[in-house]
Amino acid sequence: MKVVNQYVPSVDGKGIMLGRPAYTDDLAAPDALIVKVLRSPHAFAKIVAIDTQAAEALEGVELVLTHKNVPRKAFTRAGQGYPEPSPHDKFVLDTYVRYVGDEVAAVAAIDEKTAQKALGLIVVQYEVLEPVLDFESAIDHASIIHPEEGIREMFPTGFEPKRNIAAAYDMHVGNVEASLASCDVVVRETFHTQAQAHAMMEPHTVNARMDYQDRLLMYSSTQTPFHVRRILSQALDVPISRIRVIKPRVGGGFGGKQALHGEMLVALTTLRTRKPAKMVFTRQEVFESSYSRHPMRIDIALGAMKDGTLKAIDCRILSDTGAYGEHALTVFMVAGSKVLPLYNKVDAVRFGGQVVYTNKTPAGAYRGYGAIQGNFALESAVDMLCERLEIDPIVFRRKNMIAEGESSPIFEIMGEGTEGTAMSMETCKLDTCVSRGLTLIDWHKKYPRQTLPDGRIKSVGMAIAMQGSGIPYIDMGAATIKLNDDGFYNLMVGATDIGQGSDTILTQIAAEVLMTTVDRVIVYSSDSDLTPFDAGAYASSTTYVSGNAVLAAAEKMKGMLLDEAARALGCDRELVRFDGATFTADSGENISLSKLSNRLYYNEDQQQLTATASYVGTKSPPPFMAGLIEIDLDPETGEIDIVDYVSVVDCGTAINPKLAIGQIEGGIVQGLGMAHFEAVKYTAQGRLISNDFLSYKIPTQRSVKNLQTEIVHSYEPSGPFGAKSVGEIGIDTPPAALANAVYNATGVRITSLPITAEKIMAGIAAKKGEQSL
Amino acid sequence: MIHIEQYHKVDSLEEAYRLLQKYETAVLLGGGAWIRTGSKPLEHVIDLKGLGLDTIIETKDSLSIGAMVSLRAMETHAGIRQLGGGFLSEALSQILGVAFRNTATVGGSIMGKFSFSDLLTPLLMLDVTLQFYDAGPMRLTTFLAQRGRLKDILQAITIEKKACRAMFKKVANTALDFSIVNVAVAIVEGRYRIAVGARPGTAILAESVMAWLDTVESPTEATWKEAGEKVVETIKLGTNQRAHESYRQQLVKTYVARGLKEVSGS
Amino acid sequence: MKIKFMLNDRSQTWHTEPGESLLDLLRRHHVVSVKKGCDGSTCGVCTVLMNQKPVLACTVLAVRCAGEHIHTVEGLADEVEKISEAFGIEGADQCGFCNPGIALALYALKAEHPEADAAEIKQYLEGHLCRCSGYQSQVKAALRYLGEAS
Repeated sequence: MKVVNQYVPSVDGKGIMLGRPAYTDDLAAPDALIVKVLRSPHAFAKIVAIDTQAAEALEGVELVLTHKNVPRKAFTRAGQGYPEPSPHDKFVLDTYVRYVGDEVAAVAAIDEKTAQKALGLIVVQYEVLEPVLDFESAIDHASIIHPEEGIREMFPTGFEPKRNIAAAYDMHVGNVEASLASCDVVVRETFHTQAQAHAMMEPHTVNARMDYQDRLLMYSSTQTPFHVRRILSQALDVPISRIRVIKPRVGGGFGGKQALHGEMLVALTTLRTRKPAKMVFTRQEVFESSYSRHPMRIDIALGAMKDGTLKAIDCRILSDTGAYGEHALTVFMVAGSKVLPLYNKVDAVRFGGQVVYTNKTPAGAYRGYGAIQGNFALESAVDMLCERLEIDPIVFRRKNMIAEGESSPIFEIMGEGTEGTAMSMETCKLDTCVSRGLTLIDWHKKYPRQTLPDGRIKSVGMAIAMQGSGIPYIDMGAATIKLNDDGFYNLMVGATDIGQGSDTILTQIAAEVLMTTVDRVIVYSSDSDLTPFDAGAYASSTTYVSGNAVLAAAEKMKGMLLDEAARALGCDRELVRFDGATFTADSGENISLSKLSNRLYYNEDQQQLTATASYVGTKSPPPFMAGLIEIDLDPETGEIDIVDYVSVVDCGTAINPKLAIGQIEGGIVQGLGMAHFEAVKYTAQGRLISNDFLSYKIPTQRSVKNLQTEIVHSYEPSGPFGAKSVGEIGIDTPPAALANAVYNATGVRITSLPITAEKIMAGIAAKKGEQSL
Repeated sequence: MIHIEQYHKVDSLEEAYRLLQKYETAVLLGGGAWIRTGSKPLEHVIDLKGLGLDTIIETKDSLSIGAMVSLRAMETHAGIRQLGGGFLSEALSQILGVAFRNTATVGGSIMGKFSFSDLLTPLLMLDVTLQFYDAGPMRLTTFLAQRGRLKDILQAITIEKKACRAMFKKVANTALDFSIVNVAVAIVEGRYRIAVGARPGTAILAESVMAWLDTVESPTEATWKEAGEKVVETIKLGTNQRAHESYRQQLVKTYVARGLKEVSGS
Repeated sequence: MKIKFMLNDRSQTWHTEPGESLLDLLRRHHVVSVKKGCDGSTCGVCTVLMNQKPVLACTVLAVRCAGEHIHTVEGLADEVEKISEAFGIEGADQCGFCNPGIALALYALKAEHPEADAAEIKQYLEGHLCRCSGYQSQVKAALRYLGEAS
C-alpha cells in the first residue's frame, strides 16, 4: 500500500496552526446577536412566574425567550440514530428547572454587555422543590424529577419517569446463581465511578443566519450535523428542508458534542428576528450546563474454579443520568456489552440494572462510554479473584480471555439500546497485545513491586479492554467522490472530523484506491446540503463505517474512469490498465487522467463523473488492547508518579499509524485523568463547583512521564484495508490498571474513582491500623 | 469582558497614591492576573504600568524586586536563582504556565495575600522587606499578620542575601493546580525556618517549632520527624474540597521532616 | 478609548473599552488564530506574544497594549510553518484548537532556550492544555522543530 498505513501528515494541520478561520466562532457573522442564557440557581424548582418586561425594554435587546413563547414539544438532545433510544424528556424551555445551570430563559442582544444586563433584569419567581442529589436513593424518591406530561420513550427502554427511572435493562445467559454456587471461589465487590468532564478545548459554539434562500443556516461545533438538522426540525417545528447545518472545524468533542446544546435557542433567535445570532458557551457553562460522564455504582461478582477457570459473571449497575436521559440506556448497556465478552468462556453471565434521574448536570455521551466504567469494575475484580485463587493474573487472563475465531453470546443479545448482532472474532490479537505489553514494560522484573532506594515503591498493574466499531445495522455512512477537470477529486463525506483526523484517513483510503496522492483528493466534511448522510462521529464508527463507504465510492469511481478511458481509447474496458495517472490500452495507446478529465468536461462525451456509496455495518468488530502501567508510589503521602504507560493495540490496519497512536495516547491520558484525579464536584445543595480549569484539573504535559504505544499486526477482513476502530479503545484501561498497580504496591484496593493520593494514603493508614490491632 | 467603570492611567506614583486615597473602591492594577476572580464591577482601576516598578536591582547584600516585575522575570533572574540553591526560582516555576507568569506580578501576588500562594511560603524562608509608597519599609511577616486591606502602593520587595539552604514542596494534582498544601524549609545562617501554605489558610511560619529546633543540640532523623509532628500540632490545617485536614497533616509532617533532613544535609 | 499598538509589525489604532481583554479585541478584529478556551487565565489557547514574550490574551487588558508589540501566528507564518511541519511528521495535530498558542510558545522557547531538552520543553509548554494528544507527540514535534531550527 502506498498511502494507507503510511506516514501522511494531517491534511489540515498547517492551515489550522496558521490560524486560518476554521472553527464555528471564526465563521460567525460579525454582527451576530449574542444569545445568553439565564440559568437556574436551584437544583430543582418550578417557575411560578417570570417577568421579562424590563429585559425586553432594554435598548439593544432583540428577543427574550422563556417557556411561554417557545414551542413545547418533547425531544432528546442526544445525537443518535432515529428513533432514538434516549427518552424524549427535554423541552426547549420548561416550567421546571432540574439542575443548577438548567435553562430558565434566553436573551438575544446586540452585544454581550447588553445581553448580560438583560439577564439581570429578568425576574423569576421559583417554587423551590426538594432535589434528588444522591443517585443511589433516586428510585421512588418523594421528588419526581420529570412529573410533566408529554414525555415519552420511542420504543421500550424501561422508561418509568414517575419512579425517576430513565431506562432499565436485564439479560442473562445460563443460570448465574447456580453457577456461582458451584464455584470454588467467588469475589463480590461494589465499585463506584465518578462524573468526568469532557473538557474539550473549544467550548460548545453555534451560530445561525437566514441565507439568501430564506433558509436557516446553522454553523455548529457538533459531532452529528445530520442529527442536529433532524432534531432542530422536530423540536422547533420547522420543515427539515428549510434547515442547513454546517459542521466547520471542531475543537474536540469526546462525546460532549454528540448532542445539541445551544442550537435550539440560537436557531429560534434567528428564526424570530431574521438576524444572525450566536452563542459561545463560557467555560463555566461547559462545565455546568453541557454534559459529563454517567457516574455508576457497579456491583460485580465473579466465580471461578481452583484451576483458574472463570465460570460466571454477575454484574448489576445503577447509572446516574442527571436531569435528562440523554444516552441513558446506551451508555449503561455498553458497560456490559463492550466489557463482559472479554471473558467469553463463562457458563453464565447476568447483566442488568437501572439508569436514574437526579437533579444534577445531565450525563451524556463520553468517549469509551460505559466501557470505561465497566472495565474498571471487571478488571479490578479479576485481579482480586486471582489473589484469592493464588493464580498469576496474566496466566488467568490468558486462560479465560476471548481469542480469535471465538464469539460470545452477549454480542447477539445486547446492542446499543436494542438487540445485538452475533459475530465471531475474525481478528483478535489480544494475546499478542498482552505478551508485547509485558515485554515493553518489563513486567516480570517489576511485578508486583520493588522498593526504591528513596523509600518509594515501584509497581505495575494492567488491564485488557475491547471496544466496538460502529453500531451494526444502525450507523450508516456515505461518501461522494467527484472527478474534476485535470483529474483531481473531491471527497465529500458526512463523516465528522472533530479533530481525530478522519478527514485525513478518509482521504488516504480514497487516494489508495484511486492510486493517487492525498493532495489530489480534496476532502470536505460536513454540510447537510452538500455532503451525503453520515450518522456522525461517535461509537468508534468513522474509520470502519465511513471508511468502508469511502472505499466503495472510490472503487465505483475507478470503475467509471475505466469505462470512460475505454471509450476514449476505443477498446474494451478489460483491456485498459490504470496506474492512477495514466490509462493504457493493451495496444500501448494511452491517455492521462488529466487529459481524460478535460475531455469529459470540455471536449467529447461530456459528463460529470460522481460516485456515491453507502455503508452500514453488519457487525462491529472490536479493537482490543492491553494497557500496562508503571508507577512510583510514595507510601508516606500516597502520591504517585506515572512513570510509564504501555498500550499495545489491535485495531486492525492503522490507516494512518501516527494519527492512530495519537488517538490511543490521547485516550490513555484522558483515562488516566479519570483514574487519578478528575472529578466533577457538587455542593450539598447540588451546585457544581468544579466549574473551571482551576477547580477541575485535567492532565498536563508532565502528568505522565512516558507513553509507549504500539499497534500489533492485524487485518480485519470486513474493514477498509483491514481496519477496525481506534477512537475510544485507549480510554478504557487506565482506571483498572492504576487500581491494580496501587494494590500491587500497597495492598490497598481502591474501589471508587478517582484513585487520589489522599484515598491511597487513607487506605495505607487503615491497613496499618488493622495490622497494629 | 470585565466591568471596569473608570480606568486611570497615571504618570507618577504620587498621582496613583492620590487616586487610591480619593476613591474608596479604587483598586491597583498590577499584572491583572486575578482581576476577573471578583464578580463585582470595578469602579476605579489605577494602572501601575509605566511607573518604573519593573526592575530588579541586585547589590552585594540584597535583591530589590520591583512590584511590577513579572513572576517569570523573577524566576529567571540569575540572582534569584542563586538564593538558597534556587528554591525560590523552583517555586515560581510551578505557578501555572509561562505565559501566565509573564503577566502576573510580584506585587499582585503579595498584596493579594492569596491563601493558595506558592510565592509567600518560600519567601518566608528569606528576610523580606516590603517597600510601601506611604508606609515605607515593612517586614513581610508583619504585613501577612495584618488584617484588613492596606491602602498603600507596594513599590518593591527587598530580599537580604544570606547563607541559606532551602527546599520548597508543592503538593498538587497537576502542575497547573493550586497547592493542596505547600511547605518550605530552610537553614538560614544556621537557624531553621519552616513555613506552611495553602493550609488552606495563608502561609505562616511555624515559629515555635523553629525556636525548638534551635535548642536541639545534635539533631537526628528522629528530630526531623518530631519537628514534623510539632508543626502539625501548632499550625492550623483545615479541610476544603482539595483535601481533608487529616491528609494535610500527613503531608505537612512528611515534607517538613524530609525538608529538614535535606537542608541540614544529613 | 483608542489605543495604538503594533500588531504583527503593523501599526493599528483601534477602539477599546477599559474592561476589554486583548483576546476580545483581537477576535473582534477577526484575528481568529487567537482562541477563547477558558477566558480565565488557565488553558493557554489564547497565548500571543507581547514584546516577544508569551502572554495570555484573556488576561491582558487591551488598554495596556498601547505602544506594545503584539504577535500572533498570522504574523509569524514562516516560522509557524516549520513548527507545523514538525507537528505533521510526529502526528501531533488533532483538533488544533490549542495549536496556535503552542506554536507561539515554541517560537518564544526557541528564542529563549533553543537547546531545550524534552523535560524543559514539557515544563515550558505546561500552561498549554490539550485534551486530544496525550502530549507526547507534541514534545517530539517540539524537539524536531528545535533540532532543525538550531
